[in-house]
Amino acid sequence: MLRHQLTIFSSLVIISIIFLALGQEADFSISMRLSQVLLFPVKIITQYLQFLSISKMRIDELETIVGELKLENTELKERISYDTTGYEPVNYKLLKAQVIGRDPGNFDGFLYIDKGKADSLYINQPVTASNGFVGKVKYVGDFYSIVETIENNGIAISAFDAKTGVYGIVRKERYLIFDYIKIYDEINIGDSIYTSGMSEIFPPGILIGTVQMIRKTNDLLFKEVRLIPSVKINHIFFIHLVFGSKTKNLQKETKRTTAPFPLQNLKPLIPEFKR
Amino acid sequence: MRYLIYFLLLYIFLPFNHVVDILSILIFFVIFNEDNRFALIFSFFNGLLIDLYHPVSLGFNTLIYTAFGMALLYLKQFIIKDPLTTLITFTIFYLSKTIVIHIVISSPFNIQTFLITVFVFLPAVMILNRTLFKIWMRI
Repeated sequence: MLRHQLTIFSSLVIISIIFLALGQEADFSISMRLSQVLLFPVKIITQYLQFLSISKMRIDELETIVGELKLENTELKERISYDTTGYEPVNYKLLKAQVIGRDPGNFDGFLYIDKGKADSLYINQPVTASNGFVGKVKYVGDFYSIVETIENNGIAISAFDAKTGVYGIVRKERYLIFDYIKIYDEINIGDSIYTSGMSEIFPPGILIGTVQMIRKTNDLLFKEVRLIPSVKINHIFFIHLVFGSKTKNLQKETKRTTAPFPLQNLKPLIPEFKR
Repeated sequence: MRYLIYFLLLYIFLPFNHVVDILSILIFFVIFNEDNRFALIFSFFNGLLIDLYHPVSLGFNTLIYTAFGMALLYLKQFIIKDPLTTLITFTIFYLSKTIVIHIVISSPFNIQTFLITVFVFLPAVMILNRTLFKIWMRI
């Protein structure tokens, strides 16, 4: 072994031992000074990574807030033209969940998410994404749930054309269609279709899709309107579960329409709204 | 130029060293491929940076890395340069270093990091060889 090598090794070991033998205060002081010089490049990298991480968290938070505001805005817009006496403002809350499983072929359009009973999820809870409508909760497990998406053939949503105000039902057949649109109803390619809110499940104002094609069929009453969904189910990794007090208002309406005594003894004709 | 790349890699990998102990791989590579004096100083510097980045006791990692570096420098003249022997030598070196650190400063022994590091060793060495010496593996 070379003498130089041994000299270097001895020197380095002595320096290390001196470092180890230092008292706590001296140790701290030297560490501070050395890290200011030696760790300067690492600090830049670490700070940049932290900045990215914080930015991502902030984007998530803002996405949730934007979703909540969109829902609230639509609700408020709708109420401007009505008598709002006695109404409480609806406060929608969104809970972000991660998609943890999906049918690879996407034949049935179900998604598995990482939230369940532990997060107060319930069946038929509306589900959205940052781009718009996703579907509703079909099954709630303890720590996961299954979401029936717009890709599923069983789903049907009451919807309206935001531009012309035409109402219909959105459902999935071979394509996503906006059904029950009469031949003389005005509807144009590119119109945005939103949930109408005429449902126990879905709040109004969630973007479902845009009109892609309008086709006259043999049907004498209705025309075929095809939509492009606003959310590509295969592309989403995060969804938002909507917690709202829609049922609260519906219960209020139920109370107002309840007849006074002695008609109260009659069996109520109004169905109870359940989650 | 190569020395500069080693220091650059040292700084790049330092924040991620708890996931894969790529710095140990780098030291091993330097010891087996570079001048002995540089390898010793590089080991010392690497230990010093780890001491400063994960402050437990200043001088401890410096001493460990220098001592293990010296031991490897001594042993390398007896070791045949083929992939399997190199892998076995690295595994022994890395295991010994981890155990010593675990015993002395009670640092948690993360088996996952250990396995990933051993698994990553050969590809990393091949990439380093290819980048710095234009060959995949020295035999």
